[in-house]
Amino acid sequence: MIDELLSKELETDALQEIPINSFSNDLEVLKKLRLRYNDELHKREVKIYEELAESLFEVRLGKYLEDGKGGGSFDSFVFELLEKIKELYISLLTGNLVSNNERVMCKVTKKVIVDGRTLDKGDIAFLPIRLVVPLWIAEYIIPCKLVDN
Amino acid sequence: MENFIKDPSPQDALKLIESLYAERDLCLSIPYTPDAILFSGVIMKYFKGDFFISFTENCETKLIQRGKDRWISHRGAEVYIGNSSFSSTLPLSKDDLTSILAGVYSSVMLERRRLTEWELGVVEMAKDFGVSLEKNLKIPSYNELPLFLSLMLSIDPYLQGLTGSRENSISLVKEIGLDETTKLGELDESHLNTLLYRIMMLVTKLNPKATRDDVISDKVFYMGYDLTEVAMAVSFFLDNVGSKALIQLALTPSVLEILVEKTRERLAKGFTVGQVYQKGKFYVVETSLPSPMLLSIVAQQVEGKPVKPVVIKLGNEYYSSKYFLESAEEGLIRVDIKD
Repeated sequence: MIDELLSKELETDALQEIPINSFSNDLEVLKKLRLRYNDELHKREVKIYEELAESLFEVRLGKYLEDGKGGGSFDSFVFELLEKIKELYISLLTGNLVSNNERVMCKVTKKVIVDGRTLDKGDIAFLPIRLVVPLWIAEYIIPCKLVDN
Repeated sequence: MENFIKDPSPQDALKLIESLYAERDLCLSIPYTPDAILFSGVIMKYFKGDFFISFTENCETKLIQRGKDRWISHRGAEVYIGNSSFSSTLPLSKDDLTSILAGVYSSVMLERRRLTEWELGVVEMAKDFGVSLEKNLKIPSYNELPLFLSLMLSIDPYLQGLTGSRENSISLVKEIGLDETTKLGELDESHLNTLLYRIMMLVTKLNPKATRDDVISDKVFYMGYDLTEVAMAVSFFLDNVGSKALIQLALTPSVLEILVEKTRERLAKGFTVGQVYQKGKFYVVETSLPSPMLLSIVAQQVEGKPVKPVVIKLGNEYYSSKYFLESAEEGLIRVDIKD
């Protein structure tokens, strides 16, 4: 269960590899628990699991930020996402984005509708950075770097 | 849609451009040219909402170019600006003058045309901001560079044997009785006449009907930059880096110095211009210079007419530019042509 995952994670410096199938049976139990019961006691039990999950997230996030390794686990999507945010953050702060005030120049990589407008691959969008992140993660756009690494 | 009989009225574009700023967000459909991209960059610079540039006709605001004719349309209103560049219709300001002039002159250079009356008027007004205009040889940056380097960098006129060749350009300068450091402004009348004669010889070899008007034109200078070299730099960067370089120029005009410096650095290393020939629908230029747009200017002179699409043959590979091809890619685009 999550408490075991957390204990193991706390015992080591490196990120533990946690494939999703290693706790899929536990997930079924928790799903049934959530569906079957609605009393205060079970709500508190669920709350404890949620707090454990949050702690696991924080511990693993801390470790990832420390050494940048996080592949092969059920939560690698978090680290991939963080990688993109980190890349954007560094580029923004070091003058490698084509930007104007809060808007960043992006190239459209596949057909997408933004603000009701159809944009084709190769078109250009100047968007607020808060919109750039989700669209980039969904692989609809790429922020334009002044100099590609 | 367009009225071909109507006279150009670029002066009407200003009101239309001002109305763009009332939009919550804006999408511009534009052709992939340095002029249209710089125009868009300047509009975007002051626009408050989300801003889009499309290279298809998806947007309600369009910069339309057919041959040398241009229109700007927005929500049903349309202004025909004739042969004038899009950038020449932007509100004139000191902050955007570099981008405006780079847009104007890249259009003039790539289409091998003279400044329109409207564009000359813009240049005239820009004199208040330090722009100067003189009639002289078309070779780039002759006030700043030694004559041999200006000759070597000249793509219009294309000086067969001199363009791209440091050695041959230095030889010519020495034959005239000058040295590697001499600038055009230091030539006396006799040297000047000899130089002009030698240039005309080369130009008439390609085009027997060429006159002095083919080698002498209105030259525009701003902040020490020759707009011919600026136009070369924005075209070279569009070919090699893409629209982001030109958008950055519109946002931060001082980067022009870097664009000019890097382009000059590359061209001054020397480059070859070999055969120009037609292969299927393409005009091929054999060269070592990675810039289909710049080489298209040479191709126009060799073929004696506007030519499109142009591909360059670098080594054994063919490359072109989004300027000539419908492509989602930017930069040098590899083209598959069978030998």
